[in-house]
Amino acid sequence: MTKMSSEEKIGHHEALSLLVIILSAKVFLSFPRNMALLGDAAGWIIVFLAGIYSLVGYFFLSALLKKYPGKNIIQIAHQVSGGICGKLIGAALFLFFLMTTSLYLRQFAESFILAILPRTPISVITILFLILLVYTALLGVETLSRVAWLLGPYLLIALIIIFLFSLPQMTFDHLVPVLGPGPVPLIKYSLTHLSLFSEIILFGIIAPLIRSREKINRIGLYILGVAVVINTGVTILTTAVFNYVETQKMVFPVFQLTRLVAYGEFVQRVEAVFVFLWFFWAGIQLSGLFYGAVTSFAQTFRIKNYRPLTLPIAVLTFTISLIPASMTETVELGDYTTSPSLISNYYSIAAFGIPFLLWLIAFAKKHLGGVTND
Amino acid sequence: MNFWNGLKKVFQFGARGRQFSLGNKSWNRPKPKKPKPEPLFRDLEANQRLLEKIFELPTNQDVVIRDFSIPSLKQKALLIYIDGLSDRNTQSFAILQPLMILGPDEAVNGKDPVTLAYQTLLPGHQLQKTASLSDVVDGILDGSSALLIDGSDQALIIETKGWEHRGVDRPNNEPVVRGPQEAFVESFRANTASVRRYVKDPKLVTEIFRVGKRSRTLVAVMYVKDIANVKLVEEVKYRIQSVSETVDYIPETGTLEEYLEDHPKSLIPQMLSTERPDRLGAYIREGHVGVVMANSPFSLIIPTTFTIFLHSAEDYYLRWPFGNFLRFIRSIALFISLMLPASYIAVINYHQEMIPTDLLLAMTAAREMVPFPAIAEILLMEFAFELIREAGVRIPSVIGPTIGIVGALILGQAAVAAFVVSPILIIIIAITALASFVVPNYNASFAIRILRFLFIILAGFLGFFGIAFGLFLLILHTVTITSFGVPFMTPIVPYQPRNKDRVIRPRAYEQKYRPLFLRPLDWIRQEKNPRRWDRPQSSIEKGRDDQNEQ
Amino acid sequence: MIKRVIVIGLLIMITFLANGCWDRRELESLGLVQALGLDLGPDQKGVTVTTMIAIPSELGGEEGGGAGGKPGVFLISMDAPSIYEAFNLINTTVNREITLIQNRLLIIGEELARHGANKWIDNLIRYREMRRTLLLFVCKGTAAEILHVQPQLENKPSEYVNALVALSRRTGMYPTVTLNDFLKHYEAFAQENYLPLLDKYQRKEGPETPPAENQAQSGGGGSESGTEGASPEKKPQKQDDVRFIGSAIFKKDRMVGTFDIYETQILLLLNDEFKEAMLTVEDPLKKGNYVVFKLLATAPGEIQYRRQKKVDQFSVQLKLEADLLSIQSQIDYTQPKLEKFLGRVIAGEIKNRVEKAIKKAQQEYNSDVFGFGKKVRRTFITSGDYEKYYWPGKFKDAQVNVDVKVDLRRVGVQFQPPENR
Repeated sequence: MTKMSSEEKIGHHEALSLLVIILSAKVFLSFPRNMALLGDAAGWIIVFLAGIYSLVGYFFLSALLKKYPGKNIIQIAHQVSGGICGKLIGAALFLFFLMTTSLYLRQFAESFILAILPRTPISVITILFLILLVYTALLGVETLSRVAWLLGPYLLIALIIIFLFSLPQMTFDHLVPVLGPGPVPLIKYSLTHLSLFSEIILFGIIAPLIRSREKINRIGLYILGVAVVINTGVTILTTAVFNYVETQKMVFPVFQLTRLVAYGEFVQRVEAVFVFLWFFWAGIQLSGLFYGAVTSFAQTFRIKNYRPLTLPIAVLTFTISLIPASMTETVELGDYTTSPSLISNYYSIAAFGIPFLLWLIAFAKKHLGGVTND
Repeated sequence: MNFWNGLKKVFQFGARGRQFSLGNKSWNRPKPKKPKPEPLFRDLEANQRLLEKIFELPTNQDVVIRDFSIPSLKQKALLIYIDGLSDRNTQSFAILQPLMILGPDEAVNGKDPVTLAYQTLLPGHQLQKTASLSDVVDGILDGSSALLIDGSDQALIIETKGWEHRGVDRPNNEPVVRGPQEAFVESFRANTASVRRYVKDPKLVTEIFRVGKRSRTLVAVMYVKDIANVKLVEEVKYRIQSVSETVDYIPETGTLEEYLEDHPKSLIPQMLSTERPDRLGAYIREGHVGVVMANSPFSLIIPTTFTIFLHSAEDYYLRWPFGNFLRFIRSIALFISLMLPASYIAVINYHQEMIPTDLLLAMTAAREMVPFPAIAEILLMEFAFELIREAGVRIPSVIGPTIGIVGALILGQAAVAAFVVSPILIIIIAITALASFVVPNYNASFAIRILRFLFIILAGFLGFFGIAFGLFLLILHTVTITSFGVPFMTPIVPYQPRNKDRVIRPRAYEQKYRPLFLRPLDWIRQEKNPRRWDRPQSSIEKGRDDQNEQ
Repeated sequence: MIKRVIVIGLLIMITFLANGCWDRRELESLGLVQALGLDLGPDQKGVTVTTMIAIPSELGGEEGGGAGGKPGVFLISMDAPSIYEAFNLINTTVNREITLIQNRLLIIGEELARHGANKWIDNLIRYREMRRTLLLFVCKGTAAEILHVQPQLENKPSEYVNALVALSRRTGMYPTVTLNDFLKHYEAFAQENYLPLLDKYQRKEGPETPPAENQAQSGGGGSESGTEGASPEKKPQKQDDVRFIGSAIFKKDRMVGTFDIYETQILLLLNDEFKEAMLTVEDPLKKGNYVVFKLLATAPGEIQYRRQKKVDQFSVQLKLEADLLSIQSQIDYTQPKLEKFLGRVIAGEIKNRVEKAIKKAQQEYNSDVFGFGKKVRRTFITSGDYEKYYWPGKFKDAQVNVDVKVDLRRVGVQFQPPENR
């Protein structure tokens, strides 16, 4: 059985903050806008319901992890389904991580260009991010989780400050009509939007590294809970400050929120400070997903040392991130907004379908008898 | 260098293989080999020739050989010492006089003359019998006198150390307002004695080694035996001994630090060096290990974490709110001295909208006269300031105050008046310099100075994005490095809620536990609430005895 | 090997630093626009853009002397098909790059406002340097003329307007509208937009003094009359100022009318943006005299909505407080019974004004600037239903009941007014 690194251990506080940051970093991108597009003033209901469904989906993942302690999901796939099937599942996960990393990388790079560096070519920003990602992947996920724990409170405080400064401009008048397009479209969209919380599958990969084995389930639940709160909260915030009609048209709603932060004559136009903190959200999220890509590739093909893979996968990420021709195309590709997007459906299937499938196979094997690949 | 080899090196970058870690109980180091001692001769002439060869006598005029005969033992003897290192009075009155004049008549009945002299003739307070030549040579070089008696293959090393040395003075680099005003000096025994005065624990152990094949400097490793972690002590001793067997000459604890560190290439120091015995004593009591070296007034504290660099001795001697206030200011000063010039460049060149309009227009008016771009200006001024600082350290104290005038007037005023720099920049540089002096540790302030330049360049390149990038890399680096197996950012990053003394310190009577990252053998420092008279009223009314409260 | 890497790295870095990175802008290369004015272009298709650019080196110098030196700013106007092309055109003569990062005001000429905002509203949102915290104004005449005005108390015109705008809380006579507010109302069709209205104003400085006396007073405080007297052949310069004269009412994207300052107070009252103002009411017991009071809106007004048989009914309830400021007749209104009586009189007056304003908005302009649509929207569950209902068409036929209650709280430092015995 291949082990990732001889002595890496992650404490549960650090894992919590790492995964919460990874699940919530998308609020800084076009996420509130997509929700407003689908759900008018009730976009937050879609997020909330998707969160609840993902809790259900998480149940399968945690059952698998409990059944095979000490193994991450790719090793479980090898063990449960063995051979070719395991490799296929691993490759599917690798593709998932690769796509999320590339698309988010492109979106974050675009957001920095729009926010503070309008004339810098995008490759500069992308390459700088990639240097960061490779550096972090070489240092290991233990370091990344410690950084997440170190910076976590400050990043949260930044969100809280944005919230506090936007409070005077929030009105509940903007959150009506209450049910948006109607209850049926809401439920339909929230089902198809499981991909919102699909990054939880990374928990499946780092779970064996967490120090206290017994607490793994609870940690996963806490992670999902906090992430749902943050995502829903930000959606409500942007819809309440700007009318849903406007939120539907903004490229980066949270960025516009930070532009409104002002206090007296002295503190005005300080969005650059928030962009500074936004960089840390992006860095941690992309590093986590990149690490997921590298290790899933290594584990699928049973490569013992994942380090030489970092550079090639980085180059691959860079190339894929440049595929969409414009910002609009990037958003359309990655999320289901006006038309169903293949990639977003793929995310949901990969993140929640694979644990479900494996659980089903394990369940069947246990009850119907059969040989497991031990 | 081969491309593939270079690539392999890149990929090995963060791999941490088998590293020392305090929690790893199965860690074992090989035991040090004891070298075979060289024997002495029984014959005095042979010994004398041997020692003359070793010390290059008669060319070497520092070493003095005094040969005499001991009437009570009826043997010849010789005394070897180094002139200037030994105390004449002790030699004359405690060695030569009792041996040559005062000794009673003793019969040498086959007994070893040295043993006889040791037990009955010499009234010196510290004598050591040894049969090893290297001990004799070391003893002579330390300043003791060596006594060789004909007919014995053992020698006596008599403690006669006494030379001109600096007296215990105020600390130069770590002054405090409230607290003891003593510092270490270059004399080895004075230093260890100072520490003893602050930690009067019988379990405080001082183990002495000699590092450097040619310098044989005395190094003491001091720790409290039933508090300090056994593995930690063993690791420190192992590293010092490996160094001592291979290196020729180690002059000071700073060089020793470089030899012993986990990550010597990093910008960030991993050991604390302090001049104050009370600080060393405080850390030894917590479970750290202290290293004291002869000829060095700076001692080392192993292991060290990030928060310790922000502490100064005064925080503990002052009241709780005041100590925390000072720490708060120091943390802000750390941040300012690292980031302020870089933030200035980022705001001026990239994010001009953050500045209020009035200020911006005034700054633009000032900058219109200056021919350089902002980043060239700031690098110029920072460099000039570094020059002033270095000059200030080396300038003879007679013209010391002139530097202040030269710096302030010429560089500041005249540069602004000649439109070489803008006045806002002078303010920024001055505040940064003041903030960098607030950081209490000299090593750490160097790290900050260099990092500041890197941040300025990054900020000039990409504004706040560059600063965030640099900060992220810096945080990644500090989270990775360890100080003797203890992660550097403990207790902030492997989060230990019981260790409350991070940046802000809790009240003295609330600190029940010793720092847990040291894995001390005795965790508990004090009981939960040592202020027994301060208990809530109800427990006294119920008639419970104070003594039974825990 | 390491040395080579470091040297190459340093060389690359120096190249980047020396020729300037992509986004680095030195302060002295920025042309900071302090205020922007938009007018309809000469051919009715494009716009005329007037920018007020700050001159940093002239700030803090002499106060704007009467000889016409502009304190630290200069104006330049260009005609172009769009705003951003106008910026490029301006940059063909101004040697600093036009940047809107310190811009705080946007003044729209009345003609452009009446022509319709549709075409240029997108201009204002998309460009990254435009902010939603921009203050919008409409002005009578052209924006270019308004921007030529020199304020007396401030060195920089943008500070002047900012401070004036902050004062709208004290007088309630003109609203404060940022681009964010404008857009919120624009897109949601629950409320129509209103913007403050500026006009030029000839400041009256006192009677004209004959030239001979002025020469003796020429040392006095930099006022215009001194300069006027010094050269009697020169035409005495009239000092122009700007003044808020109320608000401009929009329907959809066009300006359809104005409210004067009193109607604007009502507008702000109903929109919960009114803080305090000093008003007068005719003394009910002794006609011909006035009672002056300060009206405070301490509690937000309540608007309740009911839909009965396809008729929208609103009931507006305002609870206000008044502080007595001055009584012209010597009737002692500070007695409790008279206080209540006065309260009712004031309430009646305010109710009158509110009804008149609402009727004007309904009948003349057919534009719901008061926000009634927001209450209507609350009763719908899905946005589809609300859009089908189409409130803006129904505002004209809505019935509004107004109920005002005013309590007299404080009387100043004096109880009874001084009596003439």
